[in-house]
Amino acid sequence: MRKRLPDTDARTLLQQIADGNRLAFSRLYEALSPEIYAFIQRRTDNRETAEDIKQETFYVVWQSAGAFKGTSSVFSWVCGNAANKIPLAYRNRGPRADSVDDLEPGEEPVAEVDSPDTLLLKSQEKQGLNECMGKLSFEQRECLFLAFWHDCSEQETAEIQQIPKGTVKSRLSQARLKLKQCLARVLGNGLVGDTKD
Amino acid sequence: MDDKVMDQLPWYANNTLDDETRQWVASQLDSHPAYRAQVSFYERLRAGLRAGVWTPEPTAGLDAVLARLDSRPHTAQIEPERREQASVIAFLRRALAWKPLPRLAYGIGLSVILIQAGMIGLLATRGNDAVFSEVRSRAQVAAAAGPFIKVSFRPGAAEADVRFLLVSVGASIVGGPSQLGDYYLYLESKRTDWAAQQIRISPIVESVAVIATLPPAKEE
Repeated sequence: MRKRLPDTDARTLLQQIADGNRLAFSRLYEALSPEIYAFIQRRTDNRETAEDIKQETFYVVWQSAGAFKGTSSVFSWVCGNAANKIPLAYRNRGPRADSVDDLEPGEEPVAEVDSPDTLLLKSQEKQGLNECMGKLSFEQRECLFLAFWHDCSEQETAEIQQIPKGTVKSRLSQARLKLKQCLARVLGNGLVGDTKD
Repeated sequence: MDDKVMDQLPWYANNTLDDETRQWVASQLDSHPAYRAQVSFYERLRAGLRAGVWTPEPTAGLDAVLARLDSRPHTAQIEPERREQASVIAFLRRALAWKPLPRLAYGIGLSVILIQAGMIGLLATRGNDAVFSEVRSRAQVAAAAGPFIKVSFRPGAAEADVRFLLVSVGASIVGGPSQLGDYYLYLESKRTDWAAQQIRISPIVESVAVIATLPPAKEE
């Protein structure tokens, strides 16, 4: 996964988009669209729907860039626009079992391999992680994804999930405990480490 | 373990802490293996999550969105026009723009309004005119202080005879008729007693009395 565009750069692009700069729009689209797609796809669990909503979201970005007040990060703001475009039927969904591995048969992940740990996770740990992530609530799972897949800051996570920072802390803490206990059961303590906090 | 440190560990692992907090957390990690274990777990989790999520190419769908942008003007182009449309001045400017038919219609409408306003104003200022006082009830005219003459005329008395009688003694009606048919007369000359005597002997008069004040309006 590519490193996300710094927020200061994203703000500059957004200002240019507000003035009707198509090149700036294309740059912002390329920088954020994979993450926005992933954000929507987790909530809709449907690739076509996610792609449609992603395009609709960026159309809104083009039209309302001038309305960005700068009180949040650009990524949070775009995620907020995307969340508003997701039909109600998809919101507040229950846990889904395949939340980590969205690959279809024969499909290779685009994400880069970051460390040797990833190689281990690709086999046994990956299956265990999939299983255990599926046992978390949607809110806990999304919180983990925002923190560790999108690399959102605590503030951004709170903005996107529209909760106070204290709730982000408790969600992450509960998710970590549940995940560790589940992984210890599935994989054994050796791979997970100490499950006591 | 300190909750303050534990709360910061996810953000240490995803590298989103500010420099000062990051250094503080790093100093805690050096002395607490349990914190290091937590960070290690988060880093493995981060790697695991990133390994399995498919995302489209960054440019996927961009052409479709750009094509859609071409179909409608950007808000930067339409906003100033909208702002102008929203202002009252702009509305009036557009409304009064030189177009023969609307101008004629506005002119006629404005003329009607001005004429009506003039008539209302004229009528309002004529409230004290003599013409208007003639149509008012006599009872509403403030009379001078008494004495007054209270008189009732016989049934069948002609109006002309009543007028002749009042003119001959110099009296004017300042009140009545009451429910009993009484009229109240006033004489500028203050010769009330003499006038009362003259009226009393008239064949069209039924009764006459000199009174000091006019009765309250409800008795009329």
